[in-house]
Amino acid sequence: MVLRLAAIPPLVSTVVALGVLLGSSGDAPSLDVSWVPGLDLEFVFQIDSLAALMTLLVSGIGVLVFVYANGYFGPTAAGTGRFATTLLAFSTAMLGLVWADSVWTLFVFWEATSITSFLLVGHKSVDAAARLAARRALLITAGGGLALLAGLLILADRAGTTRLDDMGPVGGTAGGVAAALVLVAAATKSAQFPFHVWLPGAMAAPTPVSAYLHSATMVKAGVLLVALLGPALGETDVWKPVGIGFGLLSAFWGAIGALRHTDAKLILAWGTVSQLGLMIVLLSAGSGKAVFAAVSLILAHAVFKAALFMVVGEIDVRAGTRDISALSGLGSRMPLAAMVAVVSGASMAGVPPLLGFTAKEAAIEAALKMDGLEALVVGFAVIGGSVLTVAYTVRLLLGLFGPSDQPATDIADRRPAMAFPSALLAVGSVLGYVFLGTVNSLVRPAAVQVQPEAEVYYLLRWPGITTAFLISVAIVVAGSTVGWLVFRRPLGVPSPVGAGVVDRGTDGVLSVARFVTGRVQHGSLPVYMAVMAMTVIVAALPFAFDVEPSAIYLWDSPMQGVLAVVVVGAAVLTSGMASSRLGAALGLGSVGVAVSGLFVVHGAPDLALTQLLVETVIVVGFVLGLGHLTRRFPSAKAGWRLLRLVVSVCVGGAVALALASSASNPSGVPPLEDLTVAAVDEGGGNNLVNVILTDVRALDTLGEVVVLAVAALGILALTESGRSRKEEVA
Amino acid sequence: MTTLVPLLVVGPLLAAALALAARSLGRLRDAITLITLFGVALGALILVLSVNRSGPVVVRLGGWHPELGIVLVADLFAALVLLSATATVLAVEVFSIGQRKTVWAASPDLVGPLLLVLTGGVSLAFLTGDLFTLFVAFELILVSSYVLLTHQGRSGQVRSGMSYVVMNLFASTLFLFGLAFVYASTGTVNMALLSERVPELSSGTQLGLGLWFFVVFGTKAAAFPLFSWLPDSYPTAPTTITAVFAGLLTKVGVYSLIRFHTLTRMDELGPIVLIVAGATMLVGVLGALAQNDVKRILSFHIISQIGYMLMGLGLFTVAGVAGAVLFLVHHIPTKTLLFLVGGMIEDEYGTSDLDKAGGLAARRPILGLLFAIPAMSLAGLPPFSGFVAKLSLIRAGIEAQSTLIVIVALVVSALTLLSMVKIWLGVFWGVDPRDEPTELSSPQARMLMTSATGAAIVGTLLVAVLAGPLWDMSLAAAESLLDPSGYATEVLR
Amino acid sequence: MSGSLIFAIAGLSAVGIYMITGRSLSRIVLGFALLGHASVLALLASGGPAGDPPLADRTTATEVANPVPQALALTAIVISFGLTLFLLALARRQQELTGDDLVEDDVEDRRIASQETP
Repeated sequence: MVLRLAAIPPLVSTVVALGVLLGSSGDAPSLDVSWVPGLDLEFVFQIDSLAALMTLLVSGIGVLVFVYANGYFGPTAAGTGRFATTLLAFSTAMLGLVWADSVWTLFVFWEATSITSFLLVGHKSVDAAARLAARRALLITAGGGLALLAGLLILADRAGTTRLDDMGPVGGTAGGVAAALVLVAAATKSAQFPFHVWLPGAMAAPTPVSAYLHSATMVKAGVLLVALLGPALGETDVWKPVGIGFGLLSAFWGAIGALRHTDAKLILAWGTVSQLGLMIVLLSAGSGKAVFAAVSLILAHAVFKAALFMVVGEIDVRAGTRDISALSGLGSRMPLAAMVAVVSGASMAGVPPLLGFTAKEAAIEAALKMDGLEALVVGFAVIGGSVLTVAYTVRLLLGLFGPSDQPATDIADRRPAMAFPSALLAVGSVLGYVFLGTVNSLVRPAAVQVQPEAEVYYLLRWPGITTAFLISVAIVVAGSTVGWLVFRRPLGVPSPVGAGVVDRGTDGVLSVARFVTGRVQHGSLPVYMAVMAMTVIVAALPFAFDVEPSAIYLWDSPMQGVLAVVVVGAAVLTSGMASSRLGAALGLGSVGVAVSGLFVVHGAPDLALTQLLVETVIVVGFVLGLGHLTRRFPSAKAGWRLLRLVVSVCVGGAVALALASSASNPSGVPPLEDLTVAAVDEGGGNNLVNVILTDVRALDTLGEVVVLAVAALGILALTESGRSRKEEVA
Repeated sequence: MTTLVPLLVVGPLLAAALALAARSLGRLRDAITLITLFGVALGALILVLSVNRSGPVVVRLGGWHPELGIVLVADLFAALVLLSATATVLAVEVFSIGQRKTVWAASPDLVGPLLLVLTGGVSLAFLTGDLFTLFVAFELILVSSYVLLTHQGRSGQVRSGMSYVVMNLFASTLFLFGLAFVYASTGTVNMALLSERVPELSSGTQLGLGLWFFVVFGTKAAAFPLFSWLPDSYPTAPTTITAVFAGLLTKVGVYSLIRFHTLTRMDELGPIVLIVAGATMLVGVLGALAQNDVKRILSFHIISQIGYMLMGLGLFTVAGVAGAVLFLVHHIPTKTLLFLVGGMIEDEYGTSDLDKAGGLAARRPILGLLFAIPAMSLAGLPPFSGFVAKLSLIRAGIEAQSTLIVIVALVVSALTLLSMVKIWLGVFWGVDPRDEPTELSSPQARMLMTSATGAAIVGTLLVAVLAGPLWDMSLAAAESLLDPSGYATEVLR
Repeated sequence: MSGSLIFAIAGLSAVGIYMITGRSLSRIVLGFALLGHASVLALLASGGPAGDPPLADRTTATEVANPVPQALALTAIVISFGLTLFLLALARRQQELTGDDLVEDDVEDRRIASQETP
């Protein structure tokens, strides 16, 4: 029910997109919401031709996917509410992405699709593989997101604008860095080699998710990014070689991957890697015809790949498996599904009379129109990639529906909600060919928006016997032969290491984290304190450069000198006698008395009095408060004790240095005269210290009283907890 | 305004005494606490608006000239951070009333009054224009945090409390030494005067003072390598207390760092601050990744995020400092919120250990949402406030051509996401390891906790929605921070 | 500044630091008491040379000892006093719980440090 309701919003936006596309005259609808003007953050949307075409895919296929999901999950499945919400959130994010007309708007929705896709891939979260795949997908796409963030920052800075519309070509080193970062981001999102490793794992997602995200929408985001930023970054030295490099490798590696697997869903996923590679090659090449072909491929691929995913999902649900080596006799038992698959597969293989054929034809034409090395590389990618595509398509179709010597697979009842959307898409592949004029009117303006030279091109229903057509025929023949040969035989290519590398890398990071943390956060207080003390020593070093010896005199009075020696001596004694309560108390008491003496000598009798009082309480508290002190000292290593000794002495030295340096060249003097006068006149007292405490700095005194009160509360609470929990302890 | 500013400091302290007197009358005590916290937050809001419109407010307490007495200075920086902090404490207090009905509660007799003392201390720290009063404010905050952390006297709390108290006492001692150095070299502890006199000192003394206070405030802020007290102590306290600590304590340290080091023109320390910032980010996030317990992961994240704020300071550019200010404003509520959700997870499973939790998203999807929003914000994902803050810092870094720190910041934000994913996978996905989920808290208590958290989330979303004006204010605050002569004129006039 | 005072402050600091970097709780408490003395003396020293007690009717502005640091020091003494007593109470509670006078390591930190596999 929730799923059915959830289909309504994409339905609405499909209608809107169609309205824009078919009824468009005049300006594209746009919306501009300011967010953080100071950082150029704003939400700018514009439904131009390319955006409208993408909207049609995102929403149109979205509606079908929601209908399909109804059948896929059935009426009893749990968690469909959560699923529908997340899928709808994804669909919204995707629309925001395609409508974005500012780099930051694009980025916001780019990241949103990563997050929602994480949730969707991990929907069956009780399955550990799904959790792992979701984590992998998120880490790779989010890593790409960070590259994109940096790339866009540089780009916006160089271009002087954040609007995609106004962006002129950017060059230079900065432009090159931006181009590389953007291409990496696109490669992560569109599953390009070597970042493709998340996509096969993402097949752990429910099939509606794969049909939606991994054919028509999210994986196209990277391709879209290349299309959108091509005009701005296409002229950098980096753009073409890196883009074509990503695409070329992916076109081949993806297709080889597809030939290697027997899980039909994985075949499709790897095929997607290959097809996206082709689109990226064409877009990076950037000629009018190439861009035109790429945009046509975006459309054709979305239609046939979604249909194929849906069929495979249906087989999975009804037959209980989607492994082509285990399936048998489905051709006659699921005739509708077989027909849909054959039509869509043929479109994927580039066989007329289907939409895929015209798109592939355009791609071959585009390669033929180039010259030099570029023609060679792009031609190689298009032709080689296509041969392998035909091969894995044939292998897939034969595997699913072809003859088999095994007994026929048992299948469950038909689920109309699953069959209907895929059938509609298959019909779409055919109708696209029949009404090629309409398709042209969708594709051309979108391509022109990326590359104005695309204006002169159009898709051909029947090209005649051209070079491109002959190549096309050769591709199908060669591909079918290969496909037939490797049918039901897993290809002897070493299994991919990619996903494992990412997972091991992630685990590696986690164990490095444990290692580092084990070193720095080892849980031992004395070590923490020693580190702090050492930091203090380092911090005090600069003081050493500015000490004026003449600012230091021996003593204010000889008595001060004597007391100072007594204080230090008593302190050392305290430390030595600390293992006995009485000794410690005696030591501490004598230090306190000597310090009070220093106060008196300095002219601070109030301080001396307070000090004596406080000292008494502390000494008494020390003697009464602490229980027996252990005489068992931990057998500290001699080295550690030496280190402590050195550190302590150094801290003492650091404090002395800092004091001396501070007293060396004071930049201001206390206003004693003013204070004396003001205290008597305004404070109304002769005891200056009292006036300061109760009037001039009364706030400090209030704070001091509160601190004391809170400390008392704490002591009380601790004592009470000791009393009430005594039993627990014992 | 001249009444409001001191009231923001003294009000909570007096109310604390009242609440303590009424400790046996539960409702009255709660009412005093809530009303005061609400009043303070409201006051902070008024202060932000007023300061933004008509400039800083300077109050000379007792009418004494700044050379002699204490001044309170509410500029945009102080007011903004104060608003963020006090609104957060208010949300936590509401949550704690809900949580009281659970086994994880802190004893309410002390929590209310102590939260008030803490709030008073935080206000004082933000508003004071006097370095010694800042010390007193620190002690107010610290002593209430010591007591809040240890008052239950549980063994884990006492053990970790020991680390916490001892390390912070050390830092307080260093603070006192630092005050002595400052007074000896400049003859004043007034910050406005310091901003004139410290730059006049010979360079060694000046640099020494800068570094010394970097250690002092860096310890409070949990910067590398002085952070060790934090991850050991925070997780052991009851949720509400950890949440307040997480949001506020370290941030007071960061605030003081930014305040002191911009005021005394310590631009020369920039590279050192940046190195520390990078190390803090990395060590914090690696620590988070190493943990297997929600509260500990979140605790380490605090450290990592402190690194980002230090990065903004270390750049010593207007954009950088503005980024740090915005990050501060965003971080306080977001972090607190995550700890509240962490507490609700603990409440659900009786532990916050990842291995002993699982499958929560299916059972309590709302809780998933409550976690996901601040988690994404913390990881710097759009469109949440953390994204704006991160973007502003990275942009500032690129502008200042500090490539290395920018790369570290980006990598760390990826690792932050990884650790959030770790929590998500451990707690919200997977299978509930318990045979039969038991409810540890009453529906009514859960309701109150959920709504307090929800309200706080709305608050953080508000930070994102209002990021435009907030950024403008952060920029204005940063401009005046980096040109302290305005501050000095304003105070000494 | 008086060299004797600097000596006393440095000496107290050194001994204090030595004691607080140890493992024994009672020594840590004692160490902080010593550090407290050192910091108060440092404040006093920062105000300038010794002089007459700051009683306005009995001395002159040239003879008087600077009263400001004395006031600051008094505040500091009282705060240190409260915190030292609190630390004492904490140490006592720790002794009750563990029957021991030693600071313990953090359990979880040790667990993580021990499972490290670089």
